[in-house]
Amino acid sequence: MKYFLIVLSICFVQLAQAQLITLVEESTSSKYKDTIPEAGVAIVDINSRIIVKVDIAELEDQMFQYQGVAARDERLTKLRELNRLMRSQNQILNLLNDRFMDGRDAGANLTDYQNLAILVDDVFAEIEENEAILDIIDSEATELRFAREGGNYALLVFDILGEQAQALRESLLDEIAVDGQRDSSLMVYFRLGAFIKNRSGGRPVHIENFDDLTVDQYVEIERFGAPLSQEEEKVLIQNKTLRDSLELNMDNLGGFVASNLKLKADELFPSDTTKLSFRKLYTNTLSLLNRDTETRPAAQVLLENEINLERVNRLYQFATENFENFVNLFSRNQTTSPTSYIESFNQLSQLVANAYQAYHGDVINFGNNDVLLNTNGVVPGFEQLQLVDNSYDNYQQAVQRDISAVQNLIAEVQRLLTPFRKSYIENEELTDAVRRFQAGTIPSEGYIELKGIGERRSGDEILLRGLIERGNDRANANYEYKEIYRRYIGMARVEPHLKMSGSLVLANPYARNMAPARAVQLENNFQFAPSYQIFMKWGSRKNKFVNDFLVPGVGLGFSSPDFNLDGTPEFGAGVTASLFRDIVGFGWAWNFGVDTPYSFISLNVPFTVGGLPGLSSGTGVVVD
Amino acid sequence: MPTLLPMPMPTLTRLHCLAEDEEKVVETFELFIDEYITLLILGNFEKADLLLKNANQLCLQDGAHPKQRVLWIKDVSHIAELRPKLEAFIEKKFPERTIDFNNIRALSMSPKTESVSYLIFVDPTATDEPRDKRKKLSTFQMARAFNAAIKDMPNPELEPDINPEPENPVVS
Repeated sequence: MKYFLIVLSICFVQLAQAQLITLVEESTSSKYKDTIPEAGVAIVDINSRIIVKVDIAELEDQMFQYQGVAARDERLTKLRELNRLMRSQNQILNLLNDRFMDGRDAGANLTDYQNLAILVDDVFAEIEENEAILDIIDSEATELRFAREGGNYALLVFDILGEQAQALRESLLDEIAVDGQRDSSLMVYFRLGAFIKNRSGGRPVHIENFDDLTVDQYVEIERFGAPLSQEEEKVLIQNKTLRDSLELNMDNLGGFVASNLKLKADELFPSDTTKLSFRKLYTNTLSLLNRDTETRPAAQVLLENEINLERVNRLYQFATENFENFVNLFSRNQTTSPTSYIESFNQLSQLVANAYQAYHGDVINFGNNDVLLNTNGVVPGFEQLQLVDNSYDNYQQAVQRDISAVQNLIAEVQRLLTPFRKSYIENEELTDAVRRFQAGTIPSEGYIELKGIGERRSGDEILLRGLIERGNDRANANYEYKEIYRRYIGMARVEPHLKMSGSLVLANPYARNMAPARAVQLENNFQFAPSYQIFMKWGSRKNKFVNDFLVPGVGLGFSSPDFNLDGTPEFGAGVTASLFRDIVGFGWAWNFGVDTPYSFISLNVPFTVGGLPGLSSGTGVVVD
Repeated sequence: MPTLLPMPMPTLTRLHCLAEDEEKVVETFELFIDEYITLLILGNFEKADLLLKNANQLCLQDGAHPKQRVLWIKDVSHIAELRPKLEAFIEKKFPERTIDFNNIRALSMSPKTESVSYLIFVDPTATDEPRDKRKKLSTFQMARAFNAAIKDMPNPELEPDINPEPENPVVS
């Protein structure tokens, strides 16, 4: 069992080492600090800080392998070892800076000295295991350097390890050199970007040390705040007016584009006229040729081709309806892909061309049939068939021209829509503001201050993407990238917070017999009464169901039932608990007007109830 | 180093070399092991100036505990005088090991523990412990020796006081 546990712990350590990026959540007060799971559900509080820790050893290993260095390359193995030895460099440096600044004892106690000794000695113990590195550290050159430079010995050791690692990186990078110059298009970079993903798409957010994005508006979601101050309410109204005005303008703009498009569409399909005249000629010729037995074989050609013509006709109808749909959809700001429309017109074009070719072929064969020659040396009905052929050709060419015009129009619309679609996809594109790091320059730590990413809501997500890129110019033929890290982190109101809500309660004065005389005059068990409730709410870091659906809360409820039916509401107060976003709740309260207890069920109905002002919008004052 | 001042400036040192004619060897030794985080270096060795300078720097570097000290006992007779005590301290730390005292170049001790924390050898390859095979005197090993002694220091904040003094001692 003991050995099994040892093996298990070794495996765990190996796995832990292989983790490229570790995310740690730290609460505002720093009271909560824990590692976010590598996989599965990841939920953080909406005001927390997400610390991003990069395993440099693992990352540089992947970068050089992407560059084309073999995993077995001895230099890569050494680089990995050196990077692993330097993992705690920043931690030691931070401890020295925080507690032992400038040689002065900055309030350090024995625990600090012992922590420093443990951290340093862990690294030194690993160095001692590695004979090659120990030889460098124990060399006379290092001894002389320490005697000459002084400073902290552990930091000197890290400097030496860093120099060794850099020399190895240079040697590995020299492999992409051509005539002594490194080909920048083959240089491998690491980039790490973050995005907030919400209902409206998303936008990039700042990761300290990893990008040059400016910090967005500082917004702290209050935990214990009054519903809305007068000032906030004023700003909210201004924003709403601005938004409504923008929406109106956008609608007007959309309407303008749509009406122009419709106008253009109406001008299309001149083939309709050609189609009518052709159909007329076709039908007339058919009946004409059918009348005479001598010309009946010619009528047969028309009859045989009528099926094809009918197919064309159906597809023509379908395509025109499709096009009208497209125009209508655009006017309603639908951004459905126009590709399907273009495809249906391609089919129509093909079908018309084939149908005409079939007819044309049949007419030529008919004309060349010597058996059908009459005494005058002509094939009866051939002339009429040729007239139909000409009309068919005109019709076919008109349809092709229309299709071409329609396709151009759709392509134009597609070009109009492309920026919108592109911007949606580019929610996940790393812009140039996200820094490119070569091996040896990658920061080992960064963080996302959620309070600094601007507007966000419970349920929004943060997406972290780590890429390895070859070259820094997308236009270059050598450019390619590989996504090595992708993780969604949900945001929720996990820390305890207050929420105030107006609702309707069904009050049941269950102790009617014990109540003072005439205190409870109700005939039914329950009485509706308006209520105002203050809830203490919290969320879960592990369970989305709790945050999105259950949303529990406990608190105080105040209501105004009228148990004695005298027309004057009494005052009741008690404790309450709620579930399902406060839609349903229950509790116990005391009616101070008639001195009787009652239990209640509360309903936070999303509509106005007659006679109960304040249950519609405006009462469910939400802090989040 | 030339100085502009009219008098020589003393250099702060945490290194104490026991003089050959030192009479109070045991007292000095006991003072060190009672008061300081001591790195005790025994006998003569190569590049002594360089390594002793570095040992002193380890006591003065940023993050060094203020009680870190180096005591160099060069004289063989002094070492012989202290040997029984030192062997007892080594025995206390490594009761199951047979360690050749003559092979020990340096050792570190936490104050008042009467036990060694770390051993550095004259010839580490001659030791019976594979993990000690690279513990030859160097700045690196001296740094490790100090770290081990600091780690071994009893933390009064964490350990219960066995004989707490009464808050209001009764005077009879």
